[in-house]
Amino acid sequence: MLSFIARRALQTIPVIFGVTLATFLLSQIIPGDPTDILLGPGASEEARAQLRQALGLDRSAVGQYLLYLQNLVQGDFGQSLTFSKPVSEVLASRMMNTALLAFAAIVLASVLGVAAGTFAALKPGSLRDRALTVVVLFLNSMPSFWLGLLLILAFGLQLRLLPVSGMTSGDGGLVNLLAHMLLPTLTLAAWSLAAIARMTRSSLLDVIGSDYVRTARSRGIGEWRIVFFHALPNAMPAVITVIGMQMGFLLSGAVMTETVFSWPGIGLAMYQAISTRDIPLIQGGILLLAVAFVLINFTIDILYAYFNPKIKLA
Amino acid sequence: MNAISTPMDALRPAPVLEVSDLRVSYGSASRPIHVVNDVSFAVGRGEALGIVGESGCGKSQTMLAVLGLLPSSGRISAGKVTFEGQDLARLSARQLRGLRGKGMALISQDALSALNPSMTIGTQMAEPMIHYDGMSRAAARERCIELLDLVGIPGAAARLGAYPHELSGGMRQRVLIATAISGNPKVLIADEPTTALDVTIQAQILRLIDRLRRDLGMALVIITHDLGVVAGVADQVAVMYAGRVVEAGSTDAIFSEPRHPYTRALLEAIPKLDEPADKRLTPIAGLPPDPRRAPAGCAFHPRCRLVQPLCREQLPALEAKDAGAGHLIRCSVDPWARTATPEARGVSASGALS
Amino acid sequence: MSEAAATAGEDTTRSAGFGRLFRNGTLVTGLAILGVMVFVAVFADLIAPHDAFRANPIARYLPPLSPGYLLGTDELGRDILSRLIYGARLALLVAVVPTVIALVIGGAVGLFAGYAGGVWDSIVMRIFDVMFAFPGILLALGISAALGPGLSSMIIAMIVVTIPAFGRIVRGVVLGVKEELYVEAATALGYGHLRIALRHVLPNVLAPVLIYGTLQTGRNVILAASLSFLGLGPQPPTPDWGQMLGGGRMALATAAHVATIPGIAIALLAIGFNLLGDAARDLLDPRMKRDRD
Repeated sequence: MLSFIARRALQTIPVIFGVTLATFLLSQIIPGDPTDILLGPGASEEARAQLRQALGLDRSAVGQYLLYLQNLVQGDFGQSLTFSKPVSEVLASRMMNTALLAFAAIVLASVLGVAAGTFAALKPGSLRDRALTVVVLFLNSMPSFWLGLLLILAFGLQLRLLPVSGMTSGDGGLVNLLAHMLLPTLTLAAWSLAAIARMTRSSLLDVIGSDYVRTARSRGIGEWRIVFFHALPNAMPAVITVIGMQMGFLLSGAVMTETVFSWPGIGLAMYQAISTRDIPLIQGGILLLAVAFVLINFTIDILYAYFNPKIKLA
Repeated sequence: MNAISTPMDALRPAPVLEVSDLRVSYGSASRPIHVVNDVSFAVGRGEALGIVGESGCGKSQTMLAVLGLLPSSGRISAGKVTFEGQDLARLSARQLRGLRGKGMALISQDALSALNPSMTIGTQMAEPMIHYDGMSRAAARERCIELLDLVGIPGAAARLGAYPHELSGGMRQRVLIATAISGNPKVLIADEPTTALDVTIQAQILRLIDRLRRDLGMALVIITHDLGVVAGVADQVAVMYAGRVVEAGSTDAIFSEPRHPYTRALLEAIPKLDEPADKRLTPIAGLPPDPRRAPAGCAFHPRCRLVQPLCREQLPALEAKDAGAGHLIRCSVDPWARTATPEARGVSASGALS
Repeated sequence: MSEAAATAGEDTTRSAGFGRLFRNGTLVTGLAILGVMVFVAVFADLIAPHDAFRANPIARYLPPLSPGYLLGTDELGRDILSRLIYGARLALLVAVVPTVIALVIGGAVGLFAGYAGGVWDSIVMRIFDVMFAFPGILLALGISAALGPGLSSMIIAMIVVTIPAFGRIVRGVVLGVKEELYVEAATALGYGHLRIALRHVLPNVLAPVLIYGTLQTGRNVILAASLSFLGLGPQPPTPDWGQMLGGGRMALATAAHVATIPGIAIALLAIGFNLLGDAARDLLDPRMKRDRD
């Protein structure tokens, strides 16, 4: 197990370096003179030269990348134009808000997705099974921000049941936070819920048709024990893989969802950065979310190996 | 009713498991596809019945129907299954579940896929004992060790914590057998129990099954494509083809006087010890029919070398003919009838098929 | 399934094959949706009741079913139906074009990596690994933002992020084919490399690429709408569904139709491609029925 973790870690490190290289390249593909954006077109050539030197723009591409890496290691993600603060500060103050939303969404999507997939798989071809197929198709084809707007319209503006913007209001408190979280969480979870339900269903159907489930039945094991103790554990590895993949959608979906619900996370900051062409903030946000995604996948792989005795030995 | 019966019936115990005129169907009610047709047999306590046929002949479907484990798309559309006099169709799902494992148990072909890969041997063996029989964990553990000893697994206690993939093929099959007999079943159904194993292990496993059957007084139904397996273990044999029994009788009768061309062909396809090693085995040409497009008349006629016009039109009945009592044959031509001339068997009297 | 198979087995005439396709509801629905979309896009000039660009300050935020404005008007008083109809052109363009270009580039790269093997293969695969490490729309968002908002930036961004998946599929097929004996035989016979690659790989790669490509086109509908919603797509006043949705968001409380109606169009187009992809998967490759995406 330890050697497995070590091997997997060794594969992860180059990917993280690659990710930093890719985010660095983003600043290289900006058309025109980057000092234009920072200083405006009317700036003097002297000021431009000074800024270039300060930012290391006078160095070669390799030199610039090394400087970028060096800065990253020191926690320097550059300066955000939108917020007039270091990018690291902007990201740090918002990281937990995004994590909270993404975590709530993955929990919701996993619980509901596994439940719905199981419910459908127990009676393949039945009405509820076909209903799930249709719901999955719709959730898969619906832009999440549109779903968010529909939820705002229904629960916020028409029924006036839930707040539709921000994280807290009034005195705050846990109930207030949860009320603010409900709609964004649902919006963010929808797509993943569909994918998880679909995978749970097909994986469970495979397992229920397997020899060992037949053996268990032939020994008089009851249906609910078969589903929960024999079928689900064996269907889980495939489901866990999908859940891991969904973490990626959740982290990027946060940009859309946070924008729609004005949730003060990294995604909302990135949205605000787009209109001001605040590339350092966009770079930093992408880097942070991508590294988080890589680390989550790493963790999932370890969990996967832990739950699957066959891999553990290999 | 075509149950296998002999003049010794009076001496035989009442059958534990009796299947009469069983039909298993798939597909819609308006266009059903029958995979098992008019199958009848009975096994008593301590008896062993072999059901023989190529894959796809309906033998496994028969046993799944008996156990009530047909997939949801399949159903018993005619006939009945009686266990200790009870019609299984009349039992509730709960009663049927109670019967499985305790009344009837199953050993499947491939122990690796038949054992749950994510549970240790001990956990899956003990599951029904703890959760349905109210045994304590300690008692269940003792019982599991006892069972593993019984099937000849050395160091049983140490094996309880192993996962199926950590054992050898033969070991796994023993574990599967131990699992099957853990509920003291009255009928043990073994579906190709040795097919996935090496030849040497096959013999050991067969001896084990045979010993357990005698020691524990179980009725045994052994399903196989290999007449050689049946010869060593079964008292009675039913040969199935395309969902129907084509020949049935005592093992002695079937081996000494095979009457159906299909049975003959199966016998010619297995090597015999008393024949020169260089004698050519005769495989059966062609494949069993697709149940969706079963041929008219006798289902075997497209592959039968001795086919007559009648065979293409009329489905023969399973009947006694002039063989010994209890020996039933489903063949219109019956080329090996005691009264038949060699000509009826074609030019070469030695083989029914090429 | 068994009945359909039996029918197909007995009767292999062409008409029976088409009959089976027509009984496939998924395929028919998907094709119908896409057919309508293409029709609308092609004949937009004839169908659209109004000029999609003309603002009408006295007819702002008209609700649906207003006289002359079936789906109402937006914040500038432009006819929503007409903008939707013209928007279909752009929606189809940004869904299909990036997918096709990414397919060609990704396919070529995958073919090269799988065929060359060794160091080249490793380099390409590591690059793909890094690109897969960026979750969802983030990489596209970054590229689009760095290049500056606009249609061409968005399309470039979409192409870049779609390449790796096609590359991986084609490389996988190439590796499989390379193992097959017939390629060894073909090499021994002295055929050119390119010819071997095209002749043996192409037939094997067709089904998976077609299936994945159709499903990816559906995903690209959503991706384009998302980028556009964030302001990274075609700039106003171009009639673009994602942008229409984003523009209507501000008036959700008073004129919900401005934002909700374009969403229906986006979802419908995505459903069309997803249904077609599912149908392609069922028809072309039964083994892929197990969910893998």
